[in-house]
Amino acid sequence: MTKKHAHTVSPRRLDTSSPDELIATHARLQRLVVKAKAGKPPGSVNYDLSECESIDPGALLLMMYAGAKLGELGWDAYATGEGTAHAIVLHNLTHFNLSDEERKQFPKEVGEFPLRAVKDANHMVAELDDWASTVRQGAGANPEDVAEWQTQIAEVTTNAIQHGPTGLSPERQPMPPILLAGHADKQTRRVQLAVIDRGAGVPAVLRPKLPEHFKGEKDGRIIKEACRPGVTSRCSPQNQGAGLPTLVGMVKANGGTLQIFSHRGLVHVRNGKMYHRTHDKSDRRLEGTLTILTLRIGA
Amino acid sequence: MRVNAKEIVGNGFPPDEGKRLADALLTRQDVTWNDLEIDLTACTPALLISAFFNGFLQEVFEKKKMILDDARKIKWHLQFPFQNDNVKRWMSDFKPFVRDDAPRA
Repeated sequence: MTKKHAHTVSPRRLDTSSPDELIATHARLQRLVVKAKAGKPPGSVNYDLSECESIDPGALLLMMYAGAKLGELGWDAYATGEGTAHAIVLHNLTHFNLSDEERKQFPKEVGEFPLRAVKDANHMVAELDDWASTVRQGAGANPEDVAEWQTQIAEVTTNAIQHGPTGLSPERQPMPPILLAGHADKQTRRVQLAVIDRGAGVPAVLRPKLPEHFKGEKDGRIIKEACRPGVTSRCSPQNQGAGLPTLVGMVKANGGTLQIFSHRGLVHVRNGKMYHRTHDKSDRRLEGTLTILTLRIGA
Repeated sequence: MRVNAKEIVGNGFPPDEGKRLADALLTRQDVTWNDLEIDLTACTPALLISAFFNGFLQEVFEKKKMILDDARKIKWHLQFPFQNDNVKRWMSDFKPFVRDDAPRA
């Protein structure tokens, strides 16, 4: 049988800076996965970035997520093109695929190599340390900015590790790596930090632990509830329900924005207020959780 | 008394390192819990998250429940002001987790 070949052209921007952009970018990439599920035997997908001028860290992670899903279905996924976005993707993937030792030897330039993986709990702190200082390069961020980024991303990755692929087990289970991406922009004095995991997802973890009247609530409302102090899955003795509220508090104090997208729900913090929504298309569901912070540098 | 945490904790998973710090202090005879100061200024901020401090207090609760209130009042020395605000809140908000299999009074 002949292998199938799919070709999709990317739009001019792959962006996750607002809920609408995030959902649209995810839906666009998920369509490739839906097509692949319907097409047998597996073949290859070419995602053409020729016309794409920009891609942000959140979109880069959604592209990695779609690529992983395609791989699980037996499809080969490629990103081709000659534009700026393609160069960013290629650059990140080249560095990402190096071993730790090779990475140390690789010459770094300002602002490069923001894509990283946290593969296990014991290396999380060291990985975040190195990653945050790499994102910082050339952005004029002071040590306190970087310390805040590290704290916020460590809260997110610790949650992801503790909840694991099934969500409710206190045991740490093997899971696909948690991916991090970040980009600091010297001109706008903003940094975007993004984390994606393929764990059970916030609604699946929290819903069974909430009072009865919450059980029928939509995913967005459940994620919002997870951001309230003291609301916890209690999957281990250390869980106090402090991680997400700390993140929300720090983002509000910074004047930045936060998006937490999991399953079909999305929570968005902007101008000190929290909003939530749930989209109704099941093919746009995100297994796991994507967290995106946009923070002011030197706030 | 003042303890330099960097001599005890490493860069492992934050809740494990918090537990390790508590264990180390609980086994030391010379630690006076009602005037304890812990210096965390040399620890990376990625370690000093809520799970680190919850792991610390949970271990104190499990091993020596009667000093939990003293442990909440520890003076933590941190590098950045935002860390002080966070830690103060985590110390007061902590609620011990009572395991189902724990012996009951």
